[in-house]
Amino acid sequence: MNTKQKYKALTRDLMWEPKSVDMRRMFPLVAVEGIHLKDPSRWEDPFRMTFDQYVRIQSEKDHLHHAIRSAYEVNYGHARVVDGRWFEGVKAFAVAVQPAEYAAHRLMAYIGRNIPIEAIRFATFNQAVDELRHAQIEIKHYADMSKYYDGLHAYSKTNENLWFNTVPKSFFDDALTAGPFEALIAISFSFEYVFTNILFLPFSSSAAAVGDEHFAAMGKSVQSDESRHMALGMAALKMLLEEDDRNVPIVQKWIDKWYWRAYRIFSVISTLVDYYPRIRSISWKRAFEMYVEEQVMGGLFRDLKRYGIRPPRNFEDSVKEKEHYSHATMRILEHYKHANYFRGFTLQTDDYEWLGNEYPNTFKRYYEPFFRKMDDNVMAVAPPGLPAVCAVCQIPCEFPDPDHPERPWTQYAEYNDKTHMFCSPGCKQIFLDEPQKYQQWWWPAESYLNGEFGGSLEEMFKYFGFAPEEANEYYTSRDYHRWIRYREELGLDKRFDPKVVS
Amino acid sequence: MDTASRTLPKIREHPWDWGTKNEYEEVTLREQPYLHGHYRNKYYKTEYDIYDPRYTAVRSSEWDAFRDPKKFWYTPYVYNRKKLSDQVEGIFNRGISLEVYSRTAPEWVGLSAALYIPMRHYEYAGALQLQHVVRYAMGCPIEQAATFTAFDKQGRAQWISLWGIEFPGTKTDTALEAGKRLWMDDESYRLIREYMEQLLITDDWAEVLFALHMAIEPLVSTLLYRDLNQLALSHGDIVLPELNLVSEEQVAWQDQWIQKFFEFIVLDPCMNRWDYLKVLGYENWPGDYRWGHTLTDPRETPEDPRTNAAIVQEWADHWLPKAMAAVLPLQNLFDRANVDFSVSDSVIRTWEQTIKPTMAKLGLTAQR
Amino acid sequence: MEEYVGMDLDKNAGDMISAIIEALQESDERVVADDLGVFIKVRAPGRMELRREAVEDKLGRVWSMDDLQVCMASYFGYIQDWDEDHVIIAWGA
Ligand SMILES: [Fe+2]
Ligand SMILES: [Fe+2]
Ligand SMILES: [Zn+2]
Repeated sequence: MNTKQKYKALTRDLMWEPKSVDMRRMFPLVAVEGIHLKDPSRWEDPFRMTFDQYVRIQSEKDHLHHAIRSAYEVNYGHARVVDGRWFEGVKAFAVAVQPAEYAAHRLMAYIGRNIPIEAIRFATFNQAVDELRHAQIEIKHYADMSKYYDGLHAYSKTNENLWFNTVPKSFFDDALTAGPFEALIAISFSFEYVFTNILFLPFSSSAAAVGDEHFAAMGKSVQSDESRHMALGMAALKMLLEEDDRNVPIVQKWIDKWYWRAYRIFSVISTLVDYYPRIRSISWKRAFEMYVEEQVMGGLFRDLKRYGIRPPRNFEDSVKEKEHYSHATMRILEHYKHANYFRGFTLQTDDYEWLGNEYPNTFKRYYEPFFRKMDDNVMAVAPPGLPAVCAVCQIPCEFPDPDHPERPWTQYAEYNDKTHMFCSPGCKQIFLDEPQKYQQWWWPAESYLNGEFGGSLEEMFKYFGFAPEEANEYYTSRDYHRWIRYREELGLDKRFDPKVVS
Repeated sequence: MDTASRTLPKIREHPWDWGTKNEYEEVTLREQPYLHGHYRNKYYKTEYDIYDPRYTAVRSSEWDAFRDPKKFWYTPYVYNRKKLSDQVEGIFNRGISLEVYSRTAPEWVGLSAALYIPMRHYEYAGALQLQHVVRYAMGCPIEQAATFTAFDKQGRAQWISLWGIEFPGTKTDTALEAGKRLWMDDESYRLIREYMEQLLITDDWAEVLFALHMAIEPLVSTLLYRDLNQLALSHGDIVLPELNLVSEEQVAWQDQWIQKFFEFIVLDPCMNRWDYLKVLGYENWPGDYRWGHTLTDPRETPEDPRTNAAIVQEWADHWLPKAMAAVLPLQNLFDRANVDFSVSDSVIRTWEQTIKPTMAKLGLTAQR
Repeated sequence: MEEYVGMDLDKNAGDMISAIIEALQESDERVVADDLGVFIKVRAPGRMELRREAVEDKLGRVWSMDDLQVCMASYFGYIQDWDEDHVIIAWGA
């Protein structure tokens, strides 16, 4: 038997048609979403992974990764990056991505349990285990950081309660509460196939550029698993499209929803590409063009046309927004940096220069004046209280309309005698398609008003899991001074004039 | 002075505020959020939260307090299983090179195929329902152990398949097909198959752990992976007993954490589903504005008046006799092959030496 | 715009990466490799095939397709086939 036959024998025909109970009781969620399957057994995981292969390949990856991590930790790699503000970006990445990895772990187990297709199930289960890997190797980085820097020590409490964390949390909560096929398209296809590249690769490149070897290694190692997840997403998508024509409009609806949902949680990633690294490897705009416009829309969606699938509903909006996205998002983060657990920072001369050059059409005209004003007086434009956020993606409603950048893009809709607010037409559409679901969302502002967070500012921060000193501006913060001190201890503050040496 | 060897001052010794003691705890504790889930399930238990204590009848005063005795998190687990996987590869390769099965008694070859190959379905079904546990169990420490157990079971189902193909199966998958026919249609397997079918419609995740790992698994794994080794050797088979030793290593860990888990549950006097919120630092919590102090109106889902011990005892009364009955008919396979072995001796020994003492330690009784 | 397929290869894997790229380019001269910092993006219009033997040839040692999983940070296209001897990534499969 060759690899293919063996793989089939090992992963197929293990489940059976039950005799003492009804099949529908065993797989109660198969039919609820209107998906039709004829002969799904012909689908398989293109990687054809078995248990033995999995543990061998993955332990090799982990050996490589942990060797780099240990070296970084014992050599105080954190003190060696070109600018410590990088770690504020890493904190943002930490809380946006790591809890999502963990949620994906639980989610893939849910999908695997509820979809009665064995070959896909083993791939989903491998992924469930992978996602636990990601959650854990990522948190190792933050555990090391937490011993030297602010903000991370109450990590999961912050994740439960902070307004910013509701953004990624609501995304995975949305998938976790959906039916299994929708969850599969949401995560395996929209998230993994369309977006994980842009999540891990540009930020890893920046990590390497600024000297965070651990993060760079982590990003690449995680992404190497994502290749399998992407393949699963593609296989799942093609399976649903080819099994029955009636699936096509359902799948299109999910692609529309989850494209925009995933795109919106990547808003913070855009700032991690354009703002936090002092040395950038690529701009958000260029990364978006390369990974989303060229690879996904140019390649994949052209190919999907023959099934009657068109690009996601709000795709054009995301293209229009690419020259605004990171700036508008950074402006939001700057606005609320006094109540966030990762800091904003005063832009430096070289930052203005880079941003102006990379974004000649938008940065100087629409955004630079705002950042300049922030520089003069940190609190000058800080709004009181907590942000009014989008009822779907939960990002503060402060995105400009890309067609008229001086106007807000904010949208409204009435439902159940209540006015709901959205950051964009994409989010509004998503709400209107499933208002019952979205009206349930946990809104931090309402929670504060109802006293869940206590009566005082102090109590509120206790609930967030960090102190006000851990927030705000980086270059005036105690973390910056710590970083400088660490460098002095290690002698990294010394400069050697090359002329003296020669 | 050698500046590179300086030790930098830390701002805290341990990364998190909740007193983690080691690497395992650092990457495991509080991975799962407990509050502020945004939406409720669209199709399954639509009144429940994403991580909701009501997915099981038993309660805990601190869901995050469970500890895997082996402290497996991803990396040590994968390293360890890689070692086992290499061992299995070696066992199979040596078995093939030495042509072990050409000198093995034919009645044993037939019997071992009839006995082990159908069990790939048993292992697989267990893995499948453990994925339900992975989704709905409370807290990462518990579901993480279930995750690795499910993965082990997938692995054993594959090892058995591979063994079936390479050895009794003459390198084709016809042996697997024959095994499935036995599993589906042979009277010897009817009760064990039905047991697994019942398991697959069991909703309460802690009950799933009981039914699978406290009831049927000790009986099946002791029989398959320990008690038959001498018999196999006496028929000239050195491949299967070695494979069994590897499988048993996985099973030993599973038994260990499962026993710990049921101690953790049964000895917890907690009667209130929401008590675990206190240790999470929400002791004075005024409640989520959407649902109040608990995740739901207490009138709609009243507290269960039974203690955890009483609930687990009810599971035991339900599943233990079924498990005993399910394994005994495997005797047919031995009788048909004319091989002298008593399944009931094995099963009763496991009952007396493992199940009864484990239950007694929990202050519970075992009736068969 | 042509429909490209390709892979992102982790530069940490060193000589393995150069061998893979050479092997790809030998069988199809339309394969281009761009250095993107920590990884190299290789792409080709429509279809790309990587053969184990070709990589072994360039490396001068035994190499397994499983090793590709360790160094392939990402890919684009459909994985049309993946076994011990070759990997094919293509559109329109
Ligand atoms: Fe992941
Ligand atoms: Fe993933
Ligand atoms: Zn929105």
